Amino acid sequence: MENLERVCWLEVELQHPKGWSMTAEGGGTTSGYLKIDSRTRTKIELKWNKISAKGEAKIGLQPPVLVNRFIEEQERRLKKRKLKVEVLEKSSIEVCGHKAYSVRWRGEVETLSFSWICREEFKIFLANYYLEPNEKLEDVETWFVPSIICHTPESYWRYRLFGVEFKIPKEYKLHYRKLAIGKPLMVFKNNATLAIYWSYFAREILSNYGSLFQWSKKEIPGEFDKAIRGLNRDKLKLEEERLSLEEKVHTGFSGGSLLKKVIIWHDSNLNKIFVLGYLGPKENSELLDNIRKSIVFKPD
Amino acid sequence: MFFKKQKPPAISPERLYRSTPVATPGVEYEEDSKGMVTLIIPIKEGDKVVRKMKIKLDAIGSKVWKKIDGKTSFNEICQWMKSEFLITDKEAEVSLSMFIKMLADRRLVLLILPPPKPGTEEVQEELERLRFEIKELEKAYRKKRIDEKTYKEARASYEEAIKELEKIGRPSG
Repeated sequence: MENLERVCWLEVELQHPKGWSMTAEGGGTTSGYLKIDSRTRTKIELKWNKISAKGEAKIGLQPPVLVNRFIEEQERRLKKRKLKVEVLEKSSIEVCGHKAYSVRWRGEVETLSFSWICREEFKIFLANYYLEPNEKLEDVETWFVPSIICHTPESYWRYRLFGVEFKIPKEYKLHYRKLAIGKPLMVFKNNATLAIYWSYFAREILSNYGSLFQWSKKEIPGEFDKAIRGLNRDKLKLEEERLSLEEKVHTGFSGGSLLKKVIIWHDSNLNKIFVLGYLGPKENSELLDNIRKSIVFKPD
Repeated sequence: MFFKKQKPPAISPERLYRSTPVATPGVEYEEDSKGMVTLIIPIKEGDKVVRKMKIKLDAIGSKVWKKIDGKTSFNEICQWMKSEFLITDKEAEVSLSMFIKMLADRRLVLLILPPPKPGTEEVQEELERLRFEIKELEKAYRKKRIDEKTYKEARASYEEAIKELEKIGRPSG
């Protein structure tokens, strides 16, 4: 299908028809959740939990248990509204090379619930696809199920938000986010902190401020400063049309130090201003440049 | 004692995308050499303009305002915004609906809405919206912001539209 767009979020990739959008998401370190709605109703829910490093889920977290428990929860919820749950079919499907336990059932609407274990990433997944009355399950199995990616051979995860895509090393987990339209901020953490922020309408906004430096004084959110333990705008230097900062941050009495690195630039081709921040060991600081190079804009 | 201003009933996103925004009659604008728009709003007492209020739009608002011509639909403005500002559908839709809402709340733009689809929630939504408009009209008349003739004519047309919609029927489900 041509009218599909790709979601890359929280260590999962999938695709959905254009016009649908992610309306809820959560987790980041040991779990993940995302919900995708069409303009009228919820269509996709997907969640994952980390499992033990051996890759074996505890008995309570086996895929059939997870799916059946979910359906029972829905049954209890719908009972209050005098609606019944009917299990239509139990089978197995393949998701990203894994065998998934799937149940087609009808409550408020017909739903396909399926769960699988990804031993490459040590995660257990549960996904629900809510069908429209005129929607065929076979169609969904053609474009939705095969589009799910739960593990990759690469060393990074793709993140995609409002058309902007970038790569984050797999060991970094989404720790904080503020997903305001046009001005999202994300903070990833491992042994260092990575902060990424961008603003749309760059050309128009910069015409008000006059310069990137003046913009940086007013528009970079406080949460960005907090993530990298402060950003002194007066120390920003203009180099190759980019504002940048590099400074040592002393870590208490131990005498150790971290490196703080910030890059701010206006991408006139994308009409966006990007701000990247790093706080961590000096030897990993090239991560910031790698993320900068990975940024692409792929509008829907 | 404080009274919270009642909000107009929400329009479903689906219907909003099919709508066409138009500047409220009487609202004019001037443009400076940099293309920045200043809206000029007549403040009336009865049918007499007593003063004019000016609102300066920012660079983005100025560009979008010039697209609000009563011919270009919401969806078309979104598509234009997408290529003009290099943003996604979602960003264009959300930014435009917030801008239009801000203008509509101040009665600076009106939305030409497509007729509601019979038998859907849109009928109920439209009935609620028309009833709200009648209340607003009564308020404006009481406060002498509109004259008796305008009030009676507008009220009659709203009531006629309500009757028509009631014929179409409420949603089945």
